[in-house]
Amino acid sequence: MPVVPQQPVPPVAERERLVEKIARELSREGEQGEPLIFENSIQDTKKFFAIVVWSEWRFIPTRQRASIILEAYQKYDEEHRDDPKGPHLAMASGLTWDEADAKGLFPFSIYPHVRDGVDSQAIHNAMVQEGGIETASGVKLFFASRNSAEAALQRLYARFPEARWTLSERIPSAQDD
Amino acid sequence: MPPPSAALYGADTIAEFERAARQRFDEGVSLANDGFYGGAIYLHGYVAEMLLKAAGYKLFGLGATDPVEDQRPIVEEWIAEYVLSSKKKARPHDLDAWARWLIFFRTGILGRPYPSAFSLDLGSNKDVIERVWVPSMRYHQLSSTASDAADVRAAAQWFLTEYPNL
Repeated sequence: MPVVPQQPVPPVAERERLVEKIARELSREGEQGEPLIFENSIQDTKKFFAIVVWSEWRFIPTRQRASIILEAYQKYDEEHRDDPKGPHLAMASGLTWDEADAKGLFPFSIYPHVRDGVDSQAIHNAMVQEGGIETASGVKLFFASRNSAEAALQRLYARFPEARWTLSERIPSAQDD
Repeated sequence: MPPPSAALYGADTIAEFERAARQRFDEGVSLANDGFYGGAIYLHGYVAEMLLKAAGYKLFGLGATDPVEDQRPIVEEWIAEYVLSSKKKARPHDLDAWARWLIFFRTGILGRPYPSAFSLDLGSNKDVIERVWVPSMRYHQLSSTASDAADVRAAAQWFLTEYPNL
């Protein structure tokens, strides 16, 4: 029989830190940074789907992410007893940025072209300030809509007129692969 | 027009999906036991896909031996409209879209939502498979681990066990 290694469980303190961070994020809306939380309601019911995109998931086995998210909603509810969200959470997915990108969650992305005479560190810093995320292929800016991507592109061009950028749109294949 | 496979294997139906899911599961277990983890993951991903689709078509009112091909365009339109909110068709083999479709249909249309713990489990098991499974993996040399194969197998087993409740 093959040896099947079991996935490690994050220590309790680490789990509590993740729960706390998501719960805090649930209380503030529209700010940049991580984790990024999407909530999609189901028709006109109170039920909703949640996706939490976060670099920190890379250390957490996929199977444990939903329960961490649920716990975060329950923690959030402790301070919002008049309008709790936890009981209405229908599905919770925790995705790293690369996982979210692979699923086409962010159809738009911006990445820079390194050119002579342009300070690559300054470009890097500007992208991080715009909400850029470190990925396996360098820092990237992800967007769910064309409008927000174009707005960010304008700001970057205003700051670095000599730099060149690519705004790319992922077109999902309609064909069976 | 019926798909080319219909001439060889008959029409795609809920009953066929159920039987095929069981067969793919057993084939995947054999592969994993022999150390072919990539092949095991590849087959076990389809177990989830077929059972999600079978459950979806069942909720939509199809009988066990009705050809799903007749309803496929309508169901895909509904998924695009109500689940993806994009008017675009779901990607082929999109487990996430089908899982959401089931939850949406039970909650928004039938008014009989799954218990929260169950729908969260559905999402988790779907996520475990989607992290490493994509049909185009068959075009690649794979270096899948025993750990990933065991995870995906457990998730596929969940779909087999819980299928009657989907």
